[in-house]
Amino acid sequence: MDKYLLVQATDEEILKNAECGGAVTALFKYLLDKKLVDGVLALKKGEDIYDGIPTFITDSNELIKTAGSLHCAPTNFGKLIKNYLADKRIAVSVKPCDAMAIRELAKLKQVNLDNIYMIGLNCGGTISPITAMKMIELFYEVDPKDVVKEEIDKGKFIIELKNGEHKAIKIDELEEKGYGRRKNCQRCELKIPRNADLACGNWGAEEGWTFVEICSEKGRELIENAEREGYIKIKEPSKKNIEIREKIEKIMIKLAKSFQKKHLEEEYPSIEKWYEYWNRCIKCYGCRDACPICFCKECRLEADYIDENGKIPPDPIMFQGIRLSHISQSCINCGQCEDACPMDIPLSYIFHRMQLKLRNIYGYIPGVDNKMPPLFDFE
Amino acid sequence: MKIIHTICPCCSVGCGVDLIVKDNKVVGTYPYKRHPINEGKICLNGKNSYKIIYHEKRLKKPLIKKNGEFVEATWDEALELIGNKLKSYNPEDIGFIASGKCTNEDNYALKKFAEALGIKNIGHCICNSPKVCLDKEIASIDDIENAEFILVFGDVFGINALIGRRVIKAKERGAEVIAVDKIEKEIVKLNSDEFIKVNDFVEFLNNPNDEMVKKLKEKNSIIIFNALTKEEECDLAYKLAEKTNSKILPIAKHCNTVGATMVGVPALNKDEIINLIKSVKCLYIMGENPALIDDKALKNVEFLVVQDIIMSETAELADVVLPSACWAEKEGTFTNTERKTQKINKVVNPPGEALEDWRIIKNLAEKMGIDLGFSSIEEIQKNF
Repeated sequence: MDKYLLVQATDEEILKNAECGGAVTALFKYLLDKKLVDGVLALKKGEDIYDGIPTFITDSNELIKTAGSLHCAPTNFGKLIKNYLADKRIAVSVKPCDAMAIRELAKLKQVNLDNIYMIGLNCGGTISPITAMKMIELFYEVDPKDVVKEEIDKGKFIIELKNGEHKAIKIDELEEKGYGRRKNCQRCELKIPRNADLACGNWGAEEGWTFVEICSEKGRELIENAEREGYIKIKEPSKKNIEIREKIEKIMIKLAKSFQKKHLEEEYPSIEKWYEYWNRCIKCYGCRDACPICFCKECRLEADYIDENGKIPPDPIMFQGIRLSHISQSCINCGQCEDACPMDIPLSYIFHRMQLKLRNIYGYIPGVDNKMPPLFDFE
Repeated sequence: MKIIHTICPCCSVGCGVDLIVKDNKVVGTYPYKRHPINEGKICLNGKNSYKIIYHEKRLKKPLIKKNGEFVEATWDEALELIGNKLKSYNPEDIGFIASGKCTNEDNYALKKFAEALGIKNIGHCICNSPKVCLDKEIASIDDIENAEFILVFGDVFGINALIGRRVIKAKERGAEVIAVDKIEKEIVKLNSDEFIKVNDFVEFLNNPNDEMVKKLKEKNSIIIFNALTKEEECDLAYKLAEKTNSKILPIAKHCNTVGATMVGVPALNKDEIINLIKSVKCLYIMGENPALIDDKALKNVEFLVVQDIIMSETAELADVVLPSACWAEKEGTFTNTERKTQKINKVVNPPGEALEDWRIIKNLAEKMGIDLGFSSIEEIQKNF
């Protein structure tokens, strides 16, 4: 079997409700039906398309709730798995940053990869839900609640309205005005999650089919078995399909590099501005708690000499400094810390920048490389 | 594992928070990013809000005090006793205290019950916090972000952080922020352009400096306060806003202080609550803990009923204690400081025999042969 495939669900309902060929949902169904996993962790749509809620599904009849993609749900599954599902055999739909978090956690013995099927989703980035709603109101001039579907295609953010009408605007334009994808997503270089077992998506796919890249032996077996059991159909993609996908990936990576330069060099906040940011810190520990790779059982940040009876703002050298020294080598630039910060401190700027500096020295790419992070690499 | 949306019960801002449930137990909070007020961001109190559910002093059974000791009782016994006692007092000798920590539905139920019994001594405790003037128009939380000049009385960064965030967002867009308080706090000083320490808010508001008034008048401005608690202080702030055509946003105390007031339960400050307690012989308290401000007055009450989620300092003094469900264990609504009503969700079952506050009141009324006209949350909601 080749590593590139076009996959289609055989289940009509899945095919109707899911993205592309419904490969992800069909594979989940296979894994649950055959009891190869205890449950599936994925996003389900809550109130509307801006509301993605992590959900753990144990009955394959309920999987349909998780079909379809939600670009306005910037979650990360790493910590949920570590904290609440580490004792289960699971399958999980992963964006590249989810897969990175899970891999880093596995190296630190916080999760066991043998218990996890990672079904990867190609990802051009996510949009914060409230930003998306404001953006749709402002630039698309429609009531965000009338939007029934959204997708990202050919550099455009496309919305479909209740009445069937489509509206599309170039993401570049939206981002120039401060909207669009989350800043860390703009800088993210991993668009195809080859660090998962499979990487699925619509790039290069034919209508009604999901383009799948096999990324591990486990992924290959899963595809073979699911086909044998009749859950999916497989065909070979054309050379052109493969090229289109490669081209999209290349463009996106190039764009990410230019955003890295813009955010982390050209527009990087001055030291004075950083002091202004740290002065806002109310020491809520939100950044620590949202960080998918932060895992110490006894956190230094709660030690008396750092807590100082709840004094705010904390000394940044101690508080943010300790976090930076613990995390930056493994920082996957998922942006969860920044999302969680009630004071809008642009935390992932400093963490991502520091990781890139360490990457230059040690060549270590967190969440992608199989070796240990540099400070834990004793070989 | 399950993740369920709800509203934070910690202050009046009304942030959304997700609760993580594992094996029928709430084990943590999760960012509710779709929520328009806080976008998944939350302060330390909000993050820890779920811990109250498993507080070591949670009440699980009705308790009746016999010879100075609490003895477990059935709901029947407890309600029978309370019903008979309520019948034995004149309505003017009975007082009811409601709570901004309970839902609109709970407060409505207690108000209805008071009306049915002809009880006039009723109020909810706002302690030291701004009184809500329902006849005055107020700004929205979104308005803060668009202001060019912000005058803050009190500390919104440490106390109502998600309001503080909006002030900072406005500042990032170039707004000027002046903070006024009696206490000097590092976080307030560092995040405002000017900090003015005052000894008396009334004095400051009676003679606001010309430059500040000019800015309030000329710019798109907003006055925010959580530290103005006396009626005179609030009145002067409203007058200043009117005079300068500024927007105004008082930040109330509890998650439903504004809702309880809007339901029609009078908001009482510290002194007024103590006066109410002193003026009655029989007192029924739902979800409040006035023993923290004055336990002497409570000790003089002949018959005290406390309905609460935990054995509070006030409950310790009671003759009968009734166990109620906390916010994560019931359905209902909270109305936040900008008067936005939001639904909370039942995430887990209450412990032991604890019941929702409104249901306890309904059951008590029934015991006394009174029909309050509702038997579900939906029926209550139809009435307000």
